[in-house]
Amino acid sequence: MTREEIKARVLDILAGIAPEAETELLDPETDLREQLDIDSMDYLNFVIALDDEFNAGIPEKDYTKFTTIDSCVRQLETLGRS
Amino acid sequence: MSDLRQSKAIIDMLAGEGHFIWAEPDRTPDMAGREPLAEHHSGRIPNGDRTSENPFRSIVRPKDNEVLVWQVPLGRDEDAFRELFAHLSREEKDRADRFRFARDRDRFVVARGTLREIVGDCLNVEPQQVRFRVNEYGKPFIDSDDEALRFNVSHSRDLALIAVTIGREIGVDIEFIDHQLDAVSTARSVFSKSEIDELESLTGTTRTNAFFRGWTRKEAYLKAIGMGFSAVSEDLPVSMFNESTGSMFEAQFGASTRMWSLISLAETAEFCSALAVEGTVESVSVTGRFEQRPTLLASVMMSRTQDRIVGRRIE
Repeated sequence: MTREEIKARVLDILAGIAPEAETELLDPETDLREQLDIDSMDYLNFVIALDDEFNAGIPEKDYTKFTTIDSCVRQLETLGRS
Repeated sequence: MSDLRQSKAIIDMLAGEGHFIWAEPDRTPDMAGREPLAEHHSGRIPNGDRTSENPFRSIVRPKDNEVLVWQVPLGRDEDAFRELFAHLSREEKDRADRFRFARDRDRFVVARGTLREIVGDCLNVEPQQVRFRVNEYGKPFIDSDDEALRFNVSHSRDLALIAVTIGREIGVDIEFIDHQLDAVSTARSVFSKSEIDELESLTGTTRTNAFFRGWTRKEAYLKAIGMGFSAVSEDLPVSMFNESTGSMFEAQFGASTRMWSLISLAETAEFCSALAVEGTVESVSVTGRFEQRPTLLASVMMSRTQDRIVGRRIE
């Protein structure tokens, strides 16, 4: 899966968590929680949805590493290679 | 989180055993029995904008053994909004600008501006003079010579809770109860096996409410220790069945063992909330309901004999 394909799926999942968001307008390097009103439960469900979608096996200790769109893509790329 | 070893010992402290007193609400502004702010801070607001309608006139610093929890509706009132926005630092205004939706931005401004009013009142400084800093996990602290004052903030949808106390760690959490949420699926990531089993034994609204009760209690505690859900929360046992009482447990940080109290503040059809506070609770006075106006939700009195309890194991 290419980086762009990963990003597109990440944005689809994010749209499910924050349905009002125009995800393509989000800054990929800024914390999602500073751009959207995402609380801890929204965030956890976002990471769980990423884990399910990519079958990534995200370890709990890494749950905090999905705070930006770019970091999501990087983490999922890394997990996909391992 | 290698230095954190949660004690598995946990008990429910039932009302009637003398630990908790659930009082009927006293809905007057000076519920905690303090004098009005104006008498402590006369002339504090130089531009005279603070009027008798200001809901936080009655705020004063909590007593040494007291926790105050304020509820703050985050809807936008134009006059109040302008004043609250003016309280914010340059960085906070920039952060407000980064929100994509005006509604989210407004909620942030109201919550942060109100926090500045409350903390400013406690420190006897202007809201704009309050300085915050954060730890490595993002938990904010007051950057002041007065290091004893502690606070914690949580918001969900259009409601925020702000807890303040002196000299002990606190965490507060409020969550909108999403009845569409697959509670068991979400719980699998952060709850222990026994807690998941407990949830699976329940159905419908009872299960959903139990999940949010457990979540808010865990989140409040993890916020109190400054780690949020970045810590592994399944190691923290909480009661989910018990609706209206608190629980108490020990947690070890390095060489020191601390006693913590978990308290459910209010639970309605829409919201669930909890407070975690270091030490042993003596009494709780809580309104038990959320309102569409800023008001005191709970006043918690802590035991002064904390030192004698620390280290005692509860079976």
